[in-house]
Amino acid sequence: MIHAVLIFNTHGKPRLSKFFTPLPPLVQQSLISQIFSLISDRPAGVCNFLDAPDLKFPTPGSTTSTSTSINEKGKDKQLQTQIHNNEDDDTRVIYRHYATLYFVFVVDGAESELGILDLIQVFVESLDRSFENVCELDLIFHFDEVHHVLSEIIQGGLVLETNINEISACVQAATRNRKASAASSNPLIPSVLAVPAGRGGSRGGSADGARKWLAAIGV
Amino acid sequence: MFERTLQDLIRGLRAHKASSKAQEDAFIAEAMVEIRQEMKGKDMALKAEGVLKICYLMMLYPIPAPPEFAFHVVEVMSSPRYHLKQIGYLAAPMAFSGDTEEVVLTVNGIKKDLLSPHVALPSIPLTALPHLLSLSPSLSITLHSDLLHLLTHSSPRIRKRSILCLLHCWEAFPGGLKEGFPKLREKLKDQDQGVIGATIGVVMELAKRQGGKNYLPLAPELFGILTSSSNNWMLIKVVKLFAILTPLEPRLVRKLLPPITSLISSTSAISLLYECVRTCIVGGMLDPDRAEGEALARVCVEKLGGYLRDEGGDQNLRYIALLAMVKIIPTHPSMVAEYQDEIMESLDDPDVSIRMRALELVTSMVDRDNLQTIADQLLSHLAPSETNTSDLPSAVASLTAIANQLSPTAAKDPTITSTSVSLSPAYRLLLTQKLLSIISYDTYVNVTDFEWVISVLIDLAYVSHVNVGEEIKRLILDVVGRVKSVREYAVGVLEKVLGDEDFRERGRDGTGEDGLTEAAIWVCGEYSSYLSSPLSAISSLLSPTLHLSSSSLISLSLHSAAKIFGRYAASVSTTWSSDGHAESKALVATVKSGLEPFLSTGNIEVQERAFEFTQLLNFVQADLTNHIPPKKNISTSVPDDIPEMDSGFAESSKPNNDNPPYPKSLFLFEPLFSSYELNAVAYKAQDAVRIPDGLELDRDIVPGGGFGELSEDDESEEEKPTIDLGEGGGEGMEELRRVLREQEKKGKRREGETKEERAKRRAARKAKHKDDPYYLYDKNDKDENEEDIDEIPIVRLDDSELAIQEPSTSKTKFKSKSTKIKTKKAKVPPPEFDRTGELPEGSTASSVRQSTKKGELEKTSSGLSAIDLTSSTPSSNRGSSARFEEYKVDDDDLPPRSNAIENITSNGIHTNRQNDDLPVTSITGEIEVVKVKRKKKADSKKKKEKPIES
Repeated sequence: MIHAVLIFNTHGKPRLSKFFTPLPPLVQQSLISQIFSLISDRPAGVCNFLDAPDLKFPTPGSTTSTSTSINEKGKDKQLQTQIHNNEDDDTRVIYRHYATLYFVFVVDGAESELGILDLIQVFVESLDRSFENVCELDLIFHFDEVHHVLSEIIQGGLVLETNINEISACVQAATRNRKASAASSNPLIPSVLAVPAGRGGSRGGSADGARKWLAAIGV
Repeated sequence: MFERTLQDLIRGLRAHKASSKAQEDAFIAEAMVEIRQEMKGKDMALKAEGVLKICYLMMLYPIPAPPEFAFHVVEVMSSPRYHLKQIGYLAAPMAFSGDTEEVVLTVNGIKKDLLSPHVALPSIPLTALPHLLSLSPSLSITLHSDLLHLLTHSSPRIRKRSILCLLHCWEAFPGGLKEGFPKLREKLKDQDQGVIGATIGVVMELAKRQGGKNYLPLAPELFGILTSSSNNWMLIKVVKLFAILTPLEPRLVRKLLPPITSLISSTSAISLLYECVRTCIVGGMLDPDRAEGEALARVCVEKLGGYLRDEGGDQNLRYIALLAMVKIIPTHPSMVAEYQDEIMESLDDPDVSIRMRALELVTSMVDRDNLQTIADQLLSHLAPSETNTSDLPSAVASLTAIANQLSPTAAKDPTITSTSVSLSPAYRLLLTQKLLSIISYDTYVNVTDFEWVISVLIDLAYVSHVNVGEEIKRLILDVVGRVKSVREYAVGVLEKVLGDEDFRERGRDGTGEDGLTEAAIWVCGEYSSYLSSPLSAISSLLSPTLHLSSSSLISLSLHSAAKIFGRYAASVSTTWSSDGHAESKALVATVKSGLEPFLSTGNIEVQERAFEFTQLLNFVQADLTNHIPPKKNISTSVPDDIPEMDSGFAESSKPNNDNPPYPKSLFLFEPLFSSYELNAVAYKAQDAVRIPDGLELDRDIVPGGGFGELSEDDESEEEKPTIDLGEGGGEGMEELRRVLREQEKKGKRREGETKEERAKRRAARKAKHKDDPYYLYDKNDKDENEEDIDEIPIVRLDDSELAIQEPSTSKTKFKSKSTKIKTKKAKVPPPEFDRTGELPEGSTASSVRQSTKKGELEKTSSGLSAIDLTSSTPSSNRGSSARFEEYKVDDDDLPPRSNAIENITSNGIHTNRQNDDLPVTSITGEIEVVKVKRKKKADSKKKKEKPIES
């Protein structure tokens, strides 16, 4: 599964951090700064997989030995029990660099390495569609929106959808719903809630037109 | 009141970023106060905005969530407005952690949202649910049926979201998986591709976490997807899933080969191609027994090799090629060896990720023939830094890092980056550790030249600049101890190390070089007979700068100096002369003066040794001064002192004379150190030491672990009579033992009839208590009620029975081992070394049996992995009965010898009964594991009948 999705800029400022594996906030912070320092050291033109001798991804619930690099930073007592230092750990850090931003996915062995690279591309393209020429400033000022886009692609660490059309249709529908909900004076009119109009044409099941229509009006 | 929106907050933060850190902190603190006010207010919109702001701040700064944050989030979650609700659910994963109790407050709200008739609503809670479910098992139990219900929702979006949620739900509530499995299967045939994709993801995770056995029945559906789908993402997942399944069901391989080979040849997506190749490798499709296996392996390796050779092409492909090649090595090492040059080149790559993969691959490629080349290559990576001092690397690395940041597009000089990589301390440490591990792999199985090993180890200590001293020391001592022929060489080179003052100085700040020095000191002391010059060795041992070293090193030095002195003194005596006399006197004086500074040192170990040796030396010194040169013995025959003649004569006159011509105190030291030869101790020798009779390690000190038998009252009452029966009929037990002794080979056990009954009773009781809020049970109960106490292997120590028939087994075993070694030696004569090491006398080499492992495996199954979907019987009985069958089969397979150990004594039953109410924790360690069953009379009769049957 996907353990975490991170976006930070070339100065290490986080723009999005979403951990699907629950970790204490301090560990999250130190992990981000550790990954950033390793990635920013890498020259251009090298591969997109981050493998470093001193990088270990902590997993919750394990009470085994401690990982030095992270322990130095956080002095929290929780850390001692939360850090996992496993030899056959198949956790991988896969990242892509776009302009001023790094998009980083921390995944385990159940995910295909090259597949995740494609998924990062999908994520970025979806952001691009929802913000129209996305740039770092968009992510800074609409960090909730970025979360919403991500939630249409990944849920609970598993991939929900990889089709960009479907993703952006969902994102647009949710945006419309938010606007409608914020604009309406009566908080209890969910009927304004819309359902995305153009369901991805490529979808398999299209036979149930009537049911879809019924679903749209909330029956 | 002025309200700051999220945008305002962000603008404010950006405005203050330029100014000092203190100002920024002040701004944040001020904002936090504001937010807290906002969250306390009644206005829901304001509250939501506050929650959002906290989320933003928590992402950027290491600030703790304000108190009651979780509570406010719950309020926002329950807001009827869509956009506020969404903020609430967005914040929920950040707000709730394992110890917040607010999760409980959310249950009804979530339930309502999930079942909302408005199609846009359920997906909001579903987004946040995975996190919440993993926090609270009770939430999982409550929502499980709702999630299952949502699987039939008309909207595919909600169907796929809920199937993903179910993974986390089942993880927290494994019992639900059994109920949900048919639905899961159904979803693999959903009409929406997205739902199928999500379902495959879930199956993949489940199979990865609990082993694929339960998911083999899904193979037809998965196979259908593999052949019909065109979605690459889905295909990748299915192919990866098959990599888990095929090792469990070899017949799948034949079915899978055609579609996978066609994918390999037809697909344009490299990611899919790579996963197919990887599945072929990992899924055991390259089995050489299979006709097409070899050809397929060739195709796979060629594909990977193509990625690897692709110079200037995609670095990612090189990385994954190396990654996959590691997997293929165990079965087809020769095919990978064809690419050795490319792999070695990758070791020089400027990219540390590729280097690490190459390093891993290289270390698994090592065999007898290429060990030296590979090790030399690795060593050469460490060597260049010799020109730098050890603290330079980080500076260089940071400089390049800065350069990279300043000009990310500028082309880098590859040599600079590649050296900076090999200078990074963490990388050097890894490299050094790998190097050491390939040398010592499987007790030096690949080593043909031990002198080379010693020289590599010494080189490593000199050039590695990382803290591996302990490891190097251990290896040197190990090699020198095992390989007798290398000792002379080792002493020769280590003697030089001893005299290397610069090197010692480097080690003083605890950077690891001390390890080699300590090894050198010890080896030179222990094998001092090989020393070219004992006197200079002693003087370098007791060098004037010794007091600067660590106390362990000092005490080791003192000890070694005493050893060398002892050996030297003994050898001097054989060629005794007045020259020798003077020399010895001088030596004693030097050693004494060398010891002097440590007489008053703070470390007690050092001080004690210094005192001991000084006292002994005082005695030697006194003896030497009082010793009247051999005139007395030989004056009658040889009046003039000619040294050479002198000694020769002294020897011949020895038998006649009680007093040897040399001072006897010269032999004071040597016997202190040389009485026993040091040998390598065999692996597991400790386990082979017999445990004395009467020592029982598995008996509880306090019966019942100190707890009363509160909850199990009814059961123990019921069971007492049955046990009394068994014990009352002491004769029966005696007979049973006798039978067992006679028929050592028949160790087959039968279960007591009460087993099923008891399992049922237990399950019923557990079920009764499960819903009782006043009954405390621990979380792991689920697997406990499946695990019958009788199944748990109980550790029992050997007793008199074992002793009787032990010598024969142990001897044969031991002999066979040593013959094995001999054959090995015959093959490659030069390195003659002691691989197995020494075992204590009368030990059983066979004492470790498979059953320990098996017991552990069974015990670790808990949670999801304990769920068995393949059998159809009700869950409470199913686990134990299935396991029982497995157990019996295993019992049959055991070699007859081991059955001899399994015997039942009344003693064993005692312990069993005492442990009855507790989960029996077997003492791990390699002791005989004997499965003791509770026996009834009927059972023992069966036992008696069995020998007749067979």
